[in-house]
Amino acid sequence: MTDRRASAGRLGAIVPTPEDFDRITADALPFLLDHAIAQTRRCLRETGQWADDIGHEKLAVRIAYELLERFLVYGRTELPCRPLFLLESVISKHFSQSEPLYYQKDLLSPLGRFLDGLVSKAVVSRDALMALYYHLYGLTQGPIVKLLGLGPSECHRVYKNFERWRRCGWERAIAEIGITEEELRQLECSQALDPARINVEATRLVPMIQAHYRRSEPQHFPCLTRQQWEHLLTQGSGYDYRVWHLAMCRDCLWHAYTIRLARQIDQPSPPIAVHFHPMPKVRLVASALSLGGNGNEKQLPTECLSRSSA
Amino acid sequence: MKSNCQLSAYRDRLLNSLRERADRQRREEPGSLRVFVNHAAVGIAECGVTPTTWVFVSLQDPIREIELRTEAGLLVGSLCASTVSPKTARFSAGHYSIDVCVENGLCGGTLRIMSRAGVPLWRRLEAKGWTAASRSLALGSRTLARLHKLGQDPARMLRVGWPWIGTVARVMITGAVLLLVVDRLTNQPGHRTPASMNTAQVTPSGQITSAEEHGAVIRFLKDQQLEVAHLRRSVTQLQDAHKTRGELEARLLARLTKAVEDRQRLRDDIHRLTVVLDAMNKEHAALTARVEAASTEREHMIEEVQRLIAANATLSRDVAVLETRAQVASARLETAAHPFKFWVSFQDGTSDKSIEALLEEIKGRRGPVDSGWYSVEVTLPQTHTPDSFVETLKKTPIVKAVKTSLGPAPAQ
Repeated sequence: MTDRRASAGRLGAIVPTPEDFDRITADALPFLLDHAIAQTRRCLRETGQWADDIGHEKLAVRIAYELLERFLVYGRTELPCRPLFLLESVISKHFSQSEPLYYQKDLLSPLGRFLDGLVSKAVVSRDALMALYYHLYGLTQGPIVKLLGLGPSECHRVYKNFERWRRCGWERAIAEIGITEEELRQLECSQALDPARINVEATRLVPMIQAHYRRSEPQHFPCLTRQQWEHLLTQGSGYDYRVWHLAMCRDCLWHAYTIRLARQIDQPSPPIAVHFHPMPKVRLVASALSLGGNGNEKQLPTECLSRSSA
Repeated sequence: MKSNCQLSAYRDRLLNSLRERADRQRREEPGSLRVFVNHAAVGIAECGVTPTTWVFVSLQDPIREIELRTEAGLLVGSLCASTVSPKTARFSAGHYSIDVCVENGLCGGTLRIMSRAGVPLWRRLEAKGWTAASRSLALGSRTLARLHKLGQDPARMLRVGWPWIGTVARVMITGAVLLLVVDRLTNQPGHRTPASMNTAQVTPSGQITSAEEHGAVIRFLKDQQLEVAHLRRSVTQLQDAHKTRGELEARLLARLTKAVEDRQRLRDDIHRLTVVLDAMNKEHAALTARVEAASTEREHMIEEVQRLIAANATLSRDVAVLETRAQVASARLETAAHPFKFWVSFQDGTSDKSIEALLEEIKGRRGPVDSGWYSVEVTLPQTHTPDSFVETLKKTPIVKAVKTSLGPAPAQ
């Protein structure tokens, strides 16, 4: 209790320099996280988005963590300041926006949290964005390069993104989302017993989640018609647009499928095949060796789509 | 209980992530930076070996919040530009230094992100080499000092000093190797010592013995002349360049002076405008106060008028009531007052004048006179009855007798 009072006292005083800010916030990190969690919980409760269960508690902790991360970087540019008050202003500012989070009770289940956390991570991380093609549709690097029509340098980046995601990105993302090993094991058991059930549930949730997180998309990234996609995919530009938008929009992804496969498939949108773990290294190497990542591979995306998790 | 354990473990994991992020920011290479403006991704700023500048222009909304994230999603920069004045910040990611500059206008704004490699590799190696060398020297000097102290006992000196000598030797060899590596790395074409000038071997004139030597001397002299001419041209070019530079500097100075004057003028204008604005604000405040006072007075007057209207209405109602009452009273009076006819005889010798005075007093209307009886009609008020009137009349001295019968005039 004395430590908490001392931390609050130090954080309530004026901090003049970045070094002081780093030192004081590093010392009081547990206090700041708890404070952010309490504030977040209060905001959720006041907006009618709260229930006393583990799902809501984890949601509050995750939001508080993200806000505290922003505060730690943002605070260094707002000196001199009183760190505690600045943190409160960051939290208040976040919750004063319209729809600051996508609140759905279905998303508080382990599967919902996994999908929501993954897509939200894809908004801020290119590694997660590329991995989203694998986790949602089972696409590996080769088919992704083929599907998006990427050039050599972009193709190289895709492999780097997959490698980094496999090495540390996935583990870090899972830790930040709050999925425990037990929950992951249970999800995989459920998928092994009844793969269709998980995929049907994910098919219901993914469009809603994607629609919410497309708010972070640039304004000049609209959905295009099939003809427009055909035109764009044959051009040597708009790589960022393709990578971002197709990962976040199932309908447009389907246009790209049909265009790149050069045939019509009698389905309204690409089937979802959830993969909970990142692509194993063996498959990664095999994919690199067999496909070469140069866009000339013969393997079609539909083959990858039909695969289940390894 | 299980939930609490889960939550506690989750919280600890996130705390560790937060503790690691500063180290990650130093260690991880950003690759390319995803730029978020007002929570929307607006593009990718590449971090390369050469300094690069990435510009984003917003035409409609001001740029309020900026976030920079690496490809792994690590937040390396965050800035809030809530005012119109330009705002700058410097962040680091890996060994890159990133400068962010935001300028907002009345509508829209401009964001510039400049990334450059912070410290070149060879500089870092050089610094590390010098550090290692200085450390090894310091260690060596400390070891020598200790050995000097133990110098009186050679066996002990050898026993204690031998491991130190080995360590010092290893450290010094490492330092030397590092210095050599640094030296090789820094020994680039741009850093090499300029090649020494060709110096001619001039032989004394007395030793010129052959035509070949004479020719060589002449060629050498011609070469020297050409070299001198070349140098002169170079000097002239340098002078021209210097002159051009001077002119350029003068022009720039003039433009700078003009810009400073413009800025000063602008400041004066802004000051004047501020003063005018203040005065207008004051006037506006005074007018507002007057308008408020007038408004208050008007409200009071409206209230007064309404009060008067209400009083008038009440008065009108009262008047109407009174009029009604008066009419009723008048009607009652009219119905209550009734004519009363009687006959009266007067004492003998009563003059007509006295009779007329009495009739006038009682407001009687005289009728025919028959045998000394005067027929008189009066209108009696409600308060008087005929009997009381007759009794009163009888008491009058000039009245002899009074009769109320309506029959023919009575005999005397």
